[in-house]
Amino acid sequence: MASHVRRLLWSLLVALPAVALGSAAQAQQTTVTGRVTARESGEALTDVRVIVLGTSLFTVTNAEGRYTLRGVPAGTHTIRTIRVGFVEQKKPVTVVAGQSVALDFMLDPAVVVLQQVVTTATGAQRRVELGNAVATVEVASKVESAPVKNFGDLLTAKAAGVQVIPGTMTGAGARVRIRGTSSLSLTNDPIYVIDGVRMMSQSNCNGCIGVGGTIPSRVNDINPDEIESIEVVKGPSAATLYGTDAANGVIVINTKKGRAGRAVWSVFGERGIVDDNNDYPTVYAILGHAPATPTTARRCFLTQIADGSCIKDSTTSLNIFSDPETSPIKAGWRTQAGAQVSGGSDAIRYFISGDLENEVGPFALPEMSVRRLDSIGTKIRDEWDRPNALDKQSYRGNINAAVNPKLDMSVQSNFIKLRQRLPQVDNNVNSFFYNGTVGPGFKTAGPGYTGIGTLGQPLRGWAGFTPAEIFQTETSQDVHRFLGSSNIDWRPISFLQTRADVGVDFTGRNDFRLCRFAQCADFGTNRLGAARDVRSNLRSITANLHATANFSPRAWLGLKTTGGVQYVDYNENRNDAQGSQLPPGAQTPADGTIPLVGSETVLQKTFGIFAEEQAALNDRLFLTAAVRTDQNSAFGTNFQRVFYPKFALSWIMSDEGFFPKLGWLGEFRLRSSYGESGVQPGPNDAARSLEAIVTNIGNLDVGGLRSNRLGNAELRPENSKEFEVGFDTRMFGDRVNFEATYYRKTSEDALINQTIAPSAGTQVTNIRRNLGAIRNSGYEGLVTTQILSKRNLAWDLSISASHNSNKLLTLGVDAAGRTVPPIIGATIRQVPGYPVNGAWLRKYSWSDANKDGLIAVSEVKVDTGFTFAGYTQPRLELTFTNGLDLLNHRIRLQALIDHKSGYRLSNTEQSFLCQQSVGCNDISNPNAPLWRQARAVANRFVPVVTPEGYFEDMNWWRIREVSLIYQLHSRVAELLRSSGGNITFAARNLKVFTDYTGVDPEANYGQSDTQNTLLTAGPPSYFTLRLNLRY
Amino acid sequence: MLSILHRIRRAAALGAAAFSLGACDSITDSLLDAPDPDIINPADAANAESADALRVGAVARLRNITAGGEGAWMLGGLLTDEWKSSDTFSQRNETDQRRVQESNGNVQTMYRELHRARNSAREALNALTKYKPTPTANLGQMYFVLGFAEMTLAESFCNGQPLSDASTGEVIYGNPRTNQEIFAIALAHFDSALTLSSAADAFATSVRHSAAVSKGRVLIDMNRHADAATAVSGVPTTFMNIATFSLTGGNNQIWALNASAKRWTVGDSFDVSGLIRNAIPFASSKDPRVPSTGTATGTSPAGRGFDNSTNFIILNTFGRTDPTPIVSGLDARLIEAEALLKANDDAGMLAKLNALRAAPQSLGPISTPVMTSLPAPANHDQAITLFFREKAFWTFSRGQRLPDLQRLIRQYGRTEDQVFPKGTFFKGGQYESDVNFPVTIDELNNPNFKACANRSA
Repeated sequence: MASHVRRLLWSLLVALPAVALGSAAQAQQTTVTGRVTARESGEALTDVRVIVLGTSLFTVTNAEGRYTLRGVPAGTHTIRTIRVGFVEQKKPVTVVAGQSVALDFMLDPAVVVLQQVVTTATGAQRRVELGNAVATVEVASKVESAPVKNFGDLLTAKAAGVQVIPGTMTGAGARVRIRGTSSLSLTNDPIYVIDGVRMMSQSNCNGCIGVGGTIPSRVNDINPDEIESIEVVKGPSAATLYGTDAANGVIVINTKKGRAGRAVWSVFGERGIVDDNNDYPTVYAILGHAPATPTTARRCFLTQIADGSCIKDSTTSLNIFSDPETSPIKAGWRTQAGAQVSGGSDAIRYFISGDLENEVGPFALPEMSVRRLDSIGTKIRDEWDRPNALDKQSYRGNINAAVNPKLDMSVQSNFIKLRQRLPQVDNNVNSFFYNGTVGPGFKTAGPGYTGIGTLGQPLRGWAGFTPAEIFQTETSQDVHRFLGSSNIDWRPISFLQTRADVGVDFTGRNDFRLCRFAQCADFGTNRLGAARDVRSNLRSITANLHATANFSPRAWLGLKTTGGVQYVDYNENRNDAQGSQLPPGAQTPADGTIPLVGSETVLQKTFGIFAEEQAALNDRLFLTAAVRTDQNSAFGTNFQRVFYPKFALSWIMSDEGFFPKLGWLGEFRLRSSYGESGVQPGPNDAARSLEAIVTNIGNLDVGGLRSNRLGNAELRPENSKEFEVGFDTRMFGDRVNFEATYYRKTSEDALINQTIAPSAGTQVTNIRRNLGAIRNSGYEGLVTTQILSKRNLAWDLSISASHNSNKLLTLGVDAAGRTVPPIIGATIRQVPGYPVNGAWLRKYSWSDANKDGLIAVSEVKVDTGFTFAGYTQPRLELTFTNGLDLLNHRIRLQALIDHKSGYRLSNTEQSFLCQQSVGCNDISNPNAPLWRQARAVANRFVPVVTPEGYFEDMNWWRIREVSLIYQLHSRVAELLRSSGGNITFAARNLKVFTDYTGVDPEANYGQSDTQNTLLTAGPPSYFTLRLNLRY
Repeated sequence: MLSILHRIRRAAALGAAAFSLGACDSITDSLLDAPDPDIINPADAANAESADALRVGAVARLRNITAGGEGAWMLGGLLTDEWKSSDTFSQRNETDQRRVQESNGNVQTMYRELHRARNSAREALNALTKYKPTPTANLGQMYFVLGFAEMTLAESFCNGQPLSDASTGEVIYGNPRTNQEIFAIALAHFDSALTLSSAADAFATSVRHSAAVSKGRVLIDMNRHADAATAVSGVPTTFMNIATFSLTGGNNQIWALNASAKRWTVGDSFDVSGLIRNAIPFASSKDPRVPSTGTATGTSPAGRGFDNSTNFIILNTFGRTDPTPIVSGLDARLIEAEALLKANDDAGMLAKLNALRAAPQSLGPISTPVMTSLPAPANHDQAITLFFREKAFWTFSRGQRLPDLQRLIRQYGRTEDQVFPKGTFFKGGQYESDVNFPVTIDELNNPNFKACANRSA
């Protein structure tokens, strides 16, 4: 295999330059130099991109605003300058062979700041040339001025059509969905590309040791402080050239690069509070007696009071999570410090960064547990006292070298060291949320509650276990991760550019769980001691090679031809060692009496070839046609190759003569694109397989076999086709920028986990088939405006909106030509004509017929049939970002408010508690409103139950981010011996406005397509103070 | 200039074409080669050894549907009076209350596991027939597993359940059948097992006795009591086909769910809500066949269950790795006793029962002491009650109580109200009326299945 790989790479390396060298002669070339400054201030502008149109030549200005373009062919050219925050400018220049020409630029500031160059699969490209919308997040400025703690925060409510549910515990990952749910059975996660290579971003966390649902995220390993910008490529219309796996969008990360000039140091320190201000459920108790036994105390449910079988004597309630004695909620903290240095010459530039981060989540041993452990002489370990924490170090070195006028090279390297831990939480009998919410509603002995646990510990209102035992289960994850990439840009002749990206993302991960002997919750064999040590190596290698030839056959026509290949090789290896029944003091699996080992391998490889042709007509009409073809190791044996075409148009209509010249309208651009992309099947989905088992027969452990996957030789990737059309316009003296987009995305050959009815007796419960079709369509809009711009008061406002409609078009037909029936789950169904993951429920009705203020079982009626109850994903999302600049921009106050609505969220927590515990509000609170009583009756007490009342209509607003930035006065900066800086006070997740009766509309664990609200944390609030200094 | 560019573009096109040719299938096949060691290819298992390994896999499935999983032995006992839920999970609570929802996840697993046992047995039969046809008792054992799973399905679930097949790798969905039809299918499979295990060696004998006892049981289910007695007559009382366990090869789930997880507690005839009508006092009777620790009311010495509110009662029969009889000679004698009962020979029935009590009997990990003889029932109706109570103690948590209560309705003319637990349910509400399990909602993915034909016993 190695020889084949070598042959392929050599053929690529030789073939592409050969295209260039095929030129019989080269025109004589010369140099263009100049300086770029800001028109008003005369300040030198760094990082201005200077481009020779119609060629592959470009450069970037240094710290003095100077640039040099070498190898410019003799003749007349147009030079374009682009920089964020300034209006693009073009100038003609005529150069004579062998001579140097000077050309300076003075750029006008743009009123509304927009990113003008974006990164595409074929290289950097002007935004106006693209037929699709691309959302850009300017990270470098945002991390200094906003409460950004991890990568998920960078995306939350930042781009229309990008829905993020942030992780709700320290170290937990965010769930990201772009333009709806496209896949029924495969991941709907976007892919991530960092500095040109694929980055591991799997949300399923294979091999992670479960704590109940919350899982760490590899995406959050990436340090936001090292990122320059993020571009969100939203769907197949734009992501075609990223190939199989890109149908759910691509998140392109560009890290910071060095800037020519003196070394500029940037240091920062941040300190803050992490607090959990969510309202967790109160447990209620109605104490009473049966009519026949007045001296025997018992609990009463409201229904029993209603039917007279229980008579109320008293009521009580307890909220474990707000009582100082019992609550495990205690503010945590966050500390981060880092230093970055950037500089170099025009030939070699560097960016070096180091960052230390420590976050302790808002959970701790409560007072009662400290008391308990002290009383039995058990020393409290830090891990028990603070069971949720994260320690991270990130080091990055990026070097860019202009080896010669035709060759640029860059190397990016990032090493991350991470250690984090999570407590037992979520959907888990050992979960502290579980044990804190299913208790009796009082602290001492009472009906059905002794108040003393099986270890003799006072429970004080907790159910079976208290944090003293629960937090003794230590679950940690250690990560050593290296991301390295190298990019080579070679411009052998002026109109040809070749680029090679090679990179690796390697993660060594160690997941560990320990229950020492005679510790942890007294459940099952926990206290006999157990250790589990899972060691995983995850590695992704990317190799890209492409060449672009620029060609201007006419003055009005520019052509750009690109061809390339991509190879992505993903490999995951894992060993899992477990040992249980540990002797006292033992801490490793090897010490266990009962050993158990496991291993796992995941392999997935993709090879793609693509070609793209772009035409620019009069620099205002841009047409693109492209195709990519992929082969993938996960395709079925009867399916070899997939083709993805793409077409795009971008037309700056306002530059056309026929376009009406309106005073208020600056620029109007129409854009449209069509493209296809895919999502690859799981690595082993196509193969029929057996699995090995161990059983015991006649007191001997013996190995056996049984069938596992059924396999599917016809398996091919999902094919998503997307059409989008929209426009961008600048209005009112460029004070208002408005973008609107309509998209329509259809996933065909949708890979569907067709449920196999149990009577077939298969080990797998489903088979993955290319059956269905799913459509997402919707609108996205973005208004960015500078409402007021005075010296001492400026006001900018950005509003983004998106609306999504989703429909499962068909589930297809099976091999026998029969229509595949709907996929039926208990509350979620996949039914053609309805949205994916739609809620299907038995409806119920109620009335307090006897007006006694109580809902009796007889007063609730539940339908026998199931009906569609609504979407389970938000349809409408709105984001408002306001910024006020005061005192000549010395002080800035900004706030981000976001909104989601148009869906029903399963309040699984309340549903669970009111169905399975004794003290939920809806069944045991005498003040519970009738509608809450009714939904509990329908969910618990009637013969055929329904959770419909717990699928709540969602419509909520959140004050997501608020920050106050003070730019240091020069004298203050001097006192700190710095050249400048700022102080930022920032707050995150300040307040949510909602009628939702659960913990929070964004309470969630895991990253599945349907939100998991069961016994999980709500989002914490952050309050941080950050000092940024430059030297 | 233009001609140069044209040439370059032609060269680029040629280069691309050359590249495409170069990147031929052999190269890309190598690039995309991803052999996963986790996968066992069926083609690598086409031999006698693998056929035997598939047989072992099917036997493991049999263990899963008996004492090795939360299956009919446990959930059936919860639906009746053998077990009570000391859990917070609604799936177990609603089963205990006899109002099982069609979305019940635990029942869904039980249902799926029973069919998995069928399918594994069929896969093993296919492989054994092809690669290792002798000894034929191996095939007989697979027919026994197949029949046992089918019998348990019909004893546990509603009428109208389908039997589908995926043993060749292709799913072929079956049509709904009555439980009597499924009993007939199981009977045929037990007959096949008997035919194939006629050899005299110990393994064949074990298979033969297992099939005989199970045949007797299914004949009882089919109301053919005399035939049942004939079928089991050659099985010695000491015979046991046991499920065995080990720390590394799987735990006894009766222990795991009761003693370890405390989610299940031994049933009794009363609890904090008072008397449970029709329920046998398994815990408070202190019968040596159901040794237990704990009380249903007051302060239980075993403490509280997992829900921290239900009095916990530990069954002392089974430890973590203790063996559990799947079928036994005791079962054979009880079948013979019931045949006598059905023939109105109450005295004969009593003699059979007392004969069992008169000698120590093995229940797997424990042996019973000699017990005093049972008094003669006053009439046939009392004889019926006596027999089923006595059988309940002998077969505690071995998957026989649910079909016995069903047969009391179906074959002995009693009503659901007279045989199943009734009254106030200790976790709220009343005991409802389920006498079997519904086919769970995911069976709706079988286009031939719409709903249970009926939920009657």
